[in-house]
Amino acid sequence: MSEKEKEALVRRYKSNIRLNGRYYIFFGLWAAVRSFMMLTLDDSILKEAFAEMEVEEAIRGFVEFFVIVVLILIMLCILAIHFFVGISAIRYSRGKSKNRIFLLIAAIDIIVIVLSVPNDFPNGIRASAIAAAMVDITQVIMLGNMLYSVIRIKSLTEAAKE
Amino acid sequence: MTAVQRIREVISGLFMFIGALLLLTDPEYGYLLVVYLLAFILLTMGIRKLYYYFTMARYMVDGKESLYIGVILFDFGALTGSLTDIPKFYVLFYLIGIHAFSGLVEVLRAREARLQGASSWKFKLIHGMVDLLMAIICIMFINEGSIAVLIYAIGLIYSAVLKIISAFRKTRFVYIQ
Amino acid sequence: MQEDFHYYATYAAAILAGYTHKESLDIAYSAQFVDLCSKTLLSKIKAPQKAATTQLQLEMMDARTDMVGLQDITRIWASFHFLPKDLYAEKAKRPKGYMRKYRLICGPNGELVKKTVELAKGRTLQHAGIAMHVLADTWAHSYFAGTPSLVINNTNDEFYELITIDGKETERKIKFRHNPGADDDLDKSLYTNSIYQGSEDSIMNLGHGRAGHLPDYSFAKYSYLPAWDDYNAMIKDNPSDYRKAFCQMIRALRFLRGDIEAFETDEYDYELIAPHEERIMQIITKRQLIASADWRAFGEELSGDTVDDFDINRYQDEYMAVENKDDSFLGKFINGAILHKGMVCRQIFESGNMLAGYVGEEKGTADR
Repeated sequence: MSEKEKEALVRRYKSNIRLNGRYYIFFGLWAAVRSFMMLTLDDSILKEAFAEMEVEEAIRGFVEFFVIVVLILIMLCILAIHFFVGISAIRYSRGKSKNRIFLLIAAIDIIVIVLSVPNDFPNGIRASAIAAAMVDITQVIMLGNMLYSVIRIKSLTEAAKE
Repeated sequence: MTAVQRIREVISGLFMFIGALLLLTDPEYGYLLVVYLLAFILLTMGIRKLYYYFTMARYMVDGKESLYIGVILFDFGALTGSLTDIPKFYVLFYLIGIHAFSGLVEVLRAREARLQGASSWKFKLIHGMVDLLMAIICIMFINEGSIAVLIYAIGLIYSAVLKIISAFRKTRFVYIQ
Repeated sequence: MQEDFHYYATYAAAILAGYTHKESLDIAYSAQFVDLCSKTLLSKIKAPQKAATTQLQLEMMDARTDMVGLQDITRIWASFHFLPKDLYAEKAKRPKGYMRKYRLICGPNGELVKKTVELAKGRTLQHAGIAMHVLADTWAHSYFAGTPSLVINNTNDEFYELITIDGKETERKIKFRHNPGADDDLDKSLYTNSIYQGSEDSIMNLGHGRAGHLPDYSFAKYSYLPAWDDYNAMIKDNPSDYRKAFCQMIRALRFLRGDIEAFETDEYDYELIAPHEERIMQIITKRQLIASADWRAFGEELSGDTVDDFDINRYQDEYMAVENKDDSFLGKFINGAILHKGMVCRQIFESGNMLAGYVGEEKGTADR
């Protein structure tokens, strides 16, 4: 492989990391918006869940509020993870950071997403379920591509040094 | 405009007109139609974007962007179609956004055309003002769901009429430097 | 390229090729007029709109981007400003739709530029001017296509200007903004470009809009990643390219004048510019938004005559008043434009590419 080809490959992989980082943030935001839309526009989801809770009537209101707060906090945590991984990837691609913790989180996230794909089909194969699965699979590809790109850059730059 | 383009404009205008009449005939059912239409448009946009990625954009620098946007649009469309009861409030907000944005763009274009000395600025200005007016009416009747359908239908009729008029206009550029 | 090169530099090239002052003015005027002959102007003087060699911004704003509209846009821009280099180019593993656009990438020394110059042989000075505009633009607008295409014409933010400071070439990141009203700031490498549009056929993805005016600045040397080049960094050396464009124009004009028998690609009249090399390179490499004053001064020194300011209205009254339009200045320009556009569109069509539309048998023009 010529020097020019190696340089082009390194550029490609850096660009991949940057793009994947950016869109991982975007996907995180979309997940938050999606969850918000589902919970507020289709309140049957929460209503059914609350109806199944065996709680005293006196504190039902407080418990429901607490559940909503916890859900919001979970969404924010997920969003924060997306931002951390995304921003770290962008900084890494621009050479502004050598920190690779984000890759560990990305690897864990891949496993979590793969395991959660069956949960996208609670009511069988429907358009919304297929769409949700597509989002999950795309995120797996995104994160996988990010990991692969980092590994490839490392091997190409080390080969160049030799 | 060529003959083919003119015919296409007229047919497209007629379809929009028929769609508007259907909406006006039954506002409650029409409202659902609006929602499903939005879902369909988003799904189609998503599929088109994905098709574009696999046939063209994957060979482009940073082309993966199209893949990611296509997936989001597809998911958005599927989500919109699957929600069993969207408060009309949100549909109205969507319509307000569309009308206001397109109205603003037309007004800016009218300003630019007027600065260039083009006589078509009046046409553009009226179009823009009508879109903005529709947005304002939507805000005024934000709590009334059937108004959403009425306004959407009026918007469709208006666009249909404009399409048909433009199909019969002479294709002349009268902007003078 | 801008007025400085299309008008004043073309004038200087024509003088060096042996044309008289008046002839050189006619050639230069026609070369510059290619950037201004829009359907709006033609409509105003009641001339055939199929002779349009450019589109105004407002025309493009209202341009339709359906298949017919795209063909209309491509016919103009690919014919006059982004002449394709290789209509039969190959690139592995690309589908047909992609290759149609890829094959319209502009570049110098292609078969079409030879045909362009040869078509002007034995015809009017106006046609020669059109050919010079097209030839010059193949150098400036290389690597972009004269059809709206995101996958060909897009760029990203990996744009670096290569500036020589104290004899050493350094890289400076170029920043783009979307403010057409503001001048480019050459000191800070701050340039205006067209806004990113994710749609393949958007007008914003026509030509070199995503690179702003950089291709039109003779002093600029920069590296960037063309959307079609698999992450290879392209170095665009405008000073070198503009010098070649100038020397190739002289050669082409000498051929048109009859001084030489054939015009071949990749041949340049370096000897003729040798006495003026330093002066020319000074003009080309000077960091300025437009080099009209410098090229004009050079041209006037060469000819000993005054080069008139370019006036878009100069020949319009004549065209409207005269009975036989073909005898008027603009009439000759219009005929040249129609002929050239027909030739290019026919070549594109015959290569199996429908992006410039269907070309009929008789007159070789695809316009309606």
